[in-house]
Amino acid sequence: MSFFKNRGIKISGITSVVPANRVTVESFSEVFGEEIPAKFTAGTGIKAMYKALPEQTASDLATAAAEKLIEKKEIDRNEIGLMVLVTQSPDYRRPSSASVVQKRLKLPIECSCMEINLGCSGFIYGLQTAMSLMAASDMKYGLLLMGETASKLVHPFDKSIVMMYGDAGAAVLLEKTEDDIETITLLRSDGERYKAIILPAGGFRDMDAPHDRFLCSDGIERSLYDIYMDGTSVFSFSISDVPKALEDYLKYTETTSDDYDIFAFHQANEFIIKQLIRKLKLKKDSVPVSLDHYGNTGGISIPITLCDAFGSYPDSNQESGKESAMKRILMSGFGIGLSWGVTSVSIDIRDVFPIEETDDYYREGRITPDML
Amino acid sequence: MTNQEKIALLEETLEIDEGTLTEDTLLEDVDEYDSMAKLSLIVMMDDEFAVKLTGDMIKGFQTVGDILAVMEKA
Repeated sequence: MSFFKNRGIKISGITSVVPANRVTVESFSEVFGEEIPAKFTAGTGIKAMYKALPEQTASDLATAAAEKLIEKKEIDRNEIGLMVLVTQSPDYRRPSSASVVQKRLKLPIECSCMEINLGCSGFIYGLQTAMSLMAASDMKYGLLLMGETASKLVHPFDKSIVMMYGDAGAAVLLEKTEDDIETITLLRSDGERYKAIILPAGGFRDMDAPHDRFLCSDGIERSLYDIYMDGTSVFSFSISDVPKALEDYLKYTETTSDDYDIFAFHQANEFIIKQLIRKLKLKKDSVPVSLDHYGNTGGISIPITLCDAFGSYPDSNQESGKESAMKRILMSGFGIGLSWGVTSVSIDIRDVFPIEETDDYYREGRITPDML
Repeated sequence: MTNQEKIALLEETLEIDEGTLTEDTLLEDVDEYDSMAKLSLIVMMDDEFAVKLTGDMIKGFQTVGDILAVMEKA
């Protein structure tokens, strides 16, 4: 059983960014007519999302989020001993974008940097990876960074997902603490269902894959270079394997839903979130939703939901003292792989910052022949 | 559960007026049977019968009778 325990590491800051390019679901009526976008919003809860500029990459979004975090927390970059970047939208086939982000953030060479290729479960996996590496080291700070531009992988006429994916970046500051805190995490994966969400071409399995479009079994035209999702199977997974993992987590940790203030779930679609609320008998107001404004941002959907819910605190609640600012949060990410995980942490929500927009991108990152 | 009860449950799940469906009703003729209704169907089958519908199973459904046939406790 993949349960993990880490001691003495806390989350002491979360930032999220989106590209400065808001797209409403309603605006797709120019492509699909009025009925399809209206039905999409009614079914998924998604009303708008932010899409990256053509030049703007996942690493740009992760870098922007990290810069804001370092600035707001006034961290000395030389005390950051680890940077884990989670993305499935790298700048290059190699090296990993972690190298580019390290350079741009001016992290010291004593800082270990690496990348994890995961999507919607990436926050949970990334958190566990970073925490366990930190627990086994003498570093003070670690960074978990995330960036995703899945909107670039979707065929523009794919009505099943073109209105679903939003682009975003997030940064989480992890800090060693003397406090006796333990983080318990559950991670699961099922490679049997690796084709449930897949972008078949562009890797090394089929290097000459044709670019022609063909009619898929769901009646939508795609090429092998467009992302494909078997929505029915992914939905079944989300309402069966995911609540099962949450129940197993509660059992293992000997907790009940009453022990948590907030439930931050991957923002796949509102229907799935409602099913999780129903199956786990949660209070609706303990389950924040951000997909209405930001769409499905993959692994970033958990941090972006926390920033959306708490970023304006304490403006909305001036009288609150330290005690009420600490929230016990149960989190679950699930999706491509298939891969899923559950964890829980206590966060001082004054360390959760508002979502900001960015149109910044790394101009030198585009390699031209004269540079080589 | 009798077939009549199953049809009533299916009508409730798909938000269709009572008495609209019969075993022979072609699903392609049911306007309400759209992608969201299929998600509700997956939830109902999981809740009521512990049956996990797959994409292939749903694609295979042509008539209401095809759905009734899998409405048995797994």
